[in-house]
Amino acid sequence: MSSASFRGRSSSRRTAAQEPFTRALLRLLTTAVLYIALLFISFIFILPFVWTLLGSLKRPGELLVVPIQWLPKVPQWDNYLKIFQAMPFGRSMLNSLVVSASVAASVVFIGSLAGFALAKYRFRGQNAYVTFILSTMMVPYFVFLMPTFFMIHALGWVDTYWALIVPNCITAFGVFFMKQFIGATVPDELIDAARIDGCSELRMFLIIVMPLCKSAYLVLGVLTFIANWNDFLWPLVVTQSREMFTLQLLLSSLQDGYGSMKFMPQLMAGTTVGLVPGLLLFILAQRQIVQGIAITGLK
Amino acid sequence: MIARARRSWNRGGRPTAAPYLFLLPTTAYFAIFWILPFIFTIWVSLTNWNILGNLSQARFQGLENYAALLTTDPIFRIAVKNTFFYVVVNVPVVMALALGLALLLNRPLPGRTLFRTIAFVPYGASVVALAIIWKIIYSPTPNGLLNSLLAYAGLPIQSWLNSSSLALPSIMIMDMWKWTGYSMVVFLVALSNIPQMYYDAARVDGANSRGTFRYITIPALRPVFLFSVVTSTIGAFQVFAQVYVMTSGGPANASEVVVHYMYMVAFKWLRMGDAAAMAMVLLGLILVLVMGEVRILGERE
Repeated sequence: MSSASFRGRSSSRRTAAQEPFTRALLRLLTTAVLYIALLFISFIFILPFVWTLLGSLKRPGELLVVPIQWLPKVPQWDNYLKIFQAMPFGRSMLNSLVVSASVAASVVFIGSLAGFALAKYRFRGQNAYVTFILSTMMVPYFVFLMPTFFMIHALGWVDTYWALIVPNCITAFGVFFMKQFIGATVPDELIDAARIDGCSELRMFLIIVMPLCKSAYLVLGVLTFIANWNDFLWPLVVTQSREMFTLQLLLSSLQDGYGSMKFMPQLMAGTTVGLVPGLLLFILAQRQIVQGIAITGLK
Repeated sequence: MIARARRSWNRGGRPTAAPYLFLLPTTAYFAIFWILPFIFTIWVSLTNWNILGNLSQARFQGLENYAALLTTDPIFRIAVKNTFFYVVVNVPVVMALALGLALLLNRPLPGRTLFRTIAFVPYGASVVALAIIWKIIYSPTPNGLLNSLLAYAGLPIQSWLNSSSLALPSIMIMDMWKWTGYSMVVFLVALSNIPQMYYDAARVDGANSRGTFRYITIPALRPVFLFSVVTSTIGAFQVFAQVYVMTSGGPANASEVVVHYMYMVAFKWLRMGDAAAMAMVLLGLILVLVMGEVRILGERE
């Protein structure tokens, strides 16, 4: 980019012999400055995580030292043991896993059913239906928070898995995502051929369309799983007992008992444990997530 | 059902009920979990319903809740002001940072994938965990991480989340840090979708880099930019967990935001009617702002 404009300006002023050297020097300098900037920005993005990880292995006093002591003198693995014994991390992770996996499976399956109908059939009201689904995405969830809680309460579902799963089991995003994907990748000829062979519409969906959606299932599934794994407000509203706490609720409750300086390393250990599973999945699935952005965000 | 079925066709032009059946779960879901609650919220906002009381005892009282919110509830006014400030500052800053980083990383730099991952990671982390981490970083003592770094640089230390003037900006900074990477990736995807031949053709025609940026990159990014601005506006209006974990709206309501206040009013103080009215006011604010954004940034014929 910059080299092009530089060439335009310099050629009128400098001799041919000077030019390549000056240009190379300038390019080197630009690259160096760029890398220093990127390094600095990376440092800002990564510092909070590193600080927490290192802090989780320190003694409480080591967090107070001036100037900053980055590394723990002797790693205190004990911090992890203590917080694990005091708080039901295993149970809350299991809860989060059950909820996020169920929601992801349902969002993916029902989303592809609806997406198939919207992408490969013609019916009255079709455009209005798609417009409706899209416009629901513009209305934030807090509008539905209280009535949905009231429904869940009336059904006697408060403090159960049902409350955490059912209200999230279909998403407009999932339907739209699958419509886009199926419309672009499932060939009409294949569907026509199946019909000629006398295949029923449902069977066709199950044995022809679904296998073709594998990659979209993975992308949508990961996105939905992570969103639900990290969700906070809805579980906060419908969960009461500690046995039903999701991981996020447990993390937020850590603050009550572990807010003081004495427990700070344990709080950091707990936060690290809470971060690792979600972040690991996020980093491993990064390519799929970027694909997901490419499929929906950009038409 | 048969009569309706005749109104849908498969690709061969034969009538079939299949699409209606495939859409049945989705339709039922949106009727129960979208349309019904929406109407319910509007109705509740017009009553004095208290969730402990029987629904049949709720008294219809017109726009009284709205009037009370706007005239006699000083905390709601602070919450709206803070939320508005939050959105109006954070969305442009995040967009600018993300666009800058995306343009930087769009060059063929070795190691840019690693950098993209590093900037992207905060987006995948849970808000609750990040809020706890940043609360520790913002620790008001001289030995808090941020204060230590400031002291090291010779700058005055601050009480961050404990200060009524800095509590909200502190939360906003954390949110900028969390969301910049996401928008950056969205822009990077958009940039990589611009065909290289546009640039090549422009070069052949003698365009310089400023020209190609102005006439190729910017127009190509416009729809994605609008999409990002709108989604981050809607997202920023819903800020909750950060405030809940880091300050609970304090000190003295200095960092109160609408969704957090609504949560307290509805689920701690059980004033459902007031909370529903707040939800509707906030929805109205969002729609107005988003419509403004679409008008300003949208396609111009």
